[in-house]
Amino acid sequence: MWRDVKLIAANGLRRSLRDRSILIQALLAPVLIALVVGAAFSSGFRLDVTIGIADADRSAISQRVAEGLTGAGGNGIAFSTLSDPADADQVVDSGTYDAVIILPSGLGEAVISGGQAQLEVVGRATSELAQSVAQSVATGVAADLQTARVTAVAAGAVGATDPGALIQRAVSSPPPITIEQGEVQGTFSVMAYFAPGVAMLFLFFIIGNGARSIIVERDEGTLARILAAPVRPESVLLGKTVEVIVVGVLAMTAVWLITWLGFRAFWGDPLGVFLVIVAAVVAIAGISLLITGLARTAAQADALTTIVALLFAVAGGTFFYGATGLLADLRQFTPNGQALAAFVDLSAARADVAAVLPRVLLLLGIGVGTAAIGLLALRKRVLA
Amino acid sequence: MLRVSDLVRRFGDQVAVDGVSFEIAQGETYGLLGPNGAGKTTSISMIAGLLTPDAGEVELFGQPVTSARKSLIGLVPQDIALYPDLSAVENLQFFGRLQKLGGTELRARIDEVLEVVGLAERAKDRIETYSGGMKRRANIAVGLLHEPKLLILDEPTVGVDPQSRNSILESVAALGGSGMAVLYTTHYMEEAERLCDRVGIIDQGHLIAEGTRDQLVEQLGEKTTVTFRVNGARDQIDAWRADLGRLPEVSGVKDAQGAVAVVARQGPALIAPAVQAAQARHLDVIGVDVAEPDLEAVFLHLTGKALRD
Repeated sequence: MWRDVKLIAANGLRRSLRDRSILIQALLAPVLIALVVGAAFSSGFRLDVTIGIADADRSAISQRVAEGLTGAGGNGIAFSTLSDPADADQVVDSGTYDAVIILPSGLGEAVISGGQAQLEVVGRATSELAQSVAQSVATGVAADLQTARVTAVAAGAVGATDPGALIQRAVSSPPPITIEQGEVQGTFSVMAYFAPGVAMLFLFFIIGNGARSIIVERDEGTLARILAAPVRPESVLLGKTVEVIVVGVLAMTAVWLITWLGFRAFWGDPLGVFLVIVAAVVAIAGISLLITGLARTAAQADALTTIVALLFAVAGGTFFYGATGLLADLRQFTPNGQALAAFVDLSAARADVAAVLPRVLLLLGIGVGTAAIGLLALRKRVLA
Repeated sequence: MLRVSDLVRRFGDQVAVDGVSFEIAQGETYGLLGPNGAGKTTSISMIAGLLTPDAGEVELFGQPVTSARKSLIGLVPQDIALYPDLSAVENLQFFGRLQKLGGTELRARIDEVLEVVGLAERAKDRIETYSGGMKRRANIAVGLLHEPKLLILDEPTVGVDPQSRNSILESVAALGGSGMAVLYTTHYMEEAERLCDRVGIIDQGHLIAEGTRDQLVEQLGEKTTVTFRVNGARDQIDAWRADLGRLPEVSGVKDAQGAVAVVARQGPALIAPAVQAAQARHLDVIGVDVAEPDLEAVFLHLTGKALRD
């Protein structure tokens, strides 16, 4: 069975790679559109994020952290102290701050005693970039406090008697905290946002085309010829599924590598990026198979794919960054919106694989679920 | 080697095939002759395992046609079932591998079938660059590739120029002589007469007659086909056709390439009343031809309509 799956997938791949229109859709169009849109947005795009620092601990250490941060703003990122930590949600909701980092009660004590305290970031779903920047800053704070603690322990080991004082001195000593502000600024690439967005839009057409080929092959008679051989219908379905996923992953990976290596658009941790690419392709493949399974003709599947692709593109944020209100909410319900959010996490917030894993699993779930329904429908209606 | 028993297939309320039964021996060429929509393609789809019968059985060498036994059958569909963007060799490689062929055996078989269908020189060209006749021949090559015991050809000459058609018919005749059983569907009487050892006549899902050409023609008794060529108004010709159908001993009337063909007992005796009827309708009879019965006449006799109606 697997030999037949491989043969059918390889035949489809060979035909896809020969099809110049697919190469244009898969590679040229996403890269060119991302270049144009990226250039347009880059000229007018300015990072403007205000992050509040709420000190709920009011210890000497937390005060030093807050002072360090408020003095470290610039390049579109501003920090401001919040008088009452209890107002964090309200000031974020009202838009006074794009995000708030809360230094929790007991932070100073935890640092000195070796205990644990959790930095909390309050953000708006509609301001993903600000949230990512705040997360990045909080991660930097935690890392610096840990460094200070290690320094103190090391000093204690060589005979120092007051580790608390050592930590306070470590925190106070310049530079008190390394805020990875420059890094956040540098890694957020407009192209790294629009390239995957546009690539995913075209993936709907490329993958949809592959999924529809089952109906096309039925109409043209090659499917009957395949089934006249000792080949199980399941092998045909699996072969087509493998084909569309491989084509999708190859296309998206090529866009990633071209924009990364050719245009320095850093998408983030390569393993994380690849996982998100695979998950996004699986989700889009599943939706395409579902559409194909429900459509009566190839033309109907084509029309439905176009409608769904454009709706998802608009709702998922393909054409613009930083949607607010209803559009921002809708993004959560689209596979490309979820994938784009994961790409932003990876590039802007330098998230690791673990951070994007929930979205990856969600996308895989969408893909497997929709593909299962679509394949069952195709088995019943096209291969019966 | 092939036994088809009481095959039935419905599509909704429509019965496409209704109780079709026949057998084909090894090395025999069997023709399934009938007009478009008679149930030929549905029948062979069930034989090839592409459609599940609602009732009846298909046995190949005494066994049902399971997925594994499909390799005993070579199917040449009516449509050109090839990938137009691949070359003939690439198409043959793909379908050959699905038939579990590989390596040197596959390469040798590809060379062999391309020689048989006369496409060796264009083997590496894409199918989309072929003429209609060449596509048909490439279509047949795929069916022959794995040396099936039974080759099913579904109207392989539809839309083909006379030269390619002749070439295809010669190839099929040679296959029949090589010991391969051939099931050949067509609505061309001449092809059935030229190629087939036995013919089954199918109409509206029913196999209405079966036998050798001579056995079938014998059913007509002494009937002959008289073909009249006339000049006159179209409505008068149609009315005259109806007049002819009412003459005694006439069993069928049909259009025959601008003429009117009548199957009747004692055909020559029909000429005088037919000409009188034509004159009554102000038609000029410009030619009369009396022919011995053929399969077309058999079909006309059995169904009252022409194969291509």
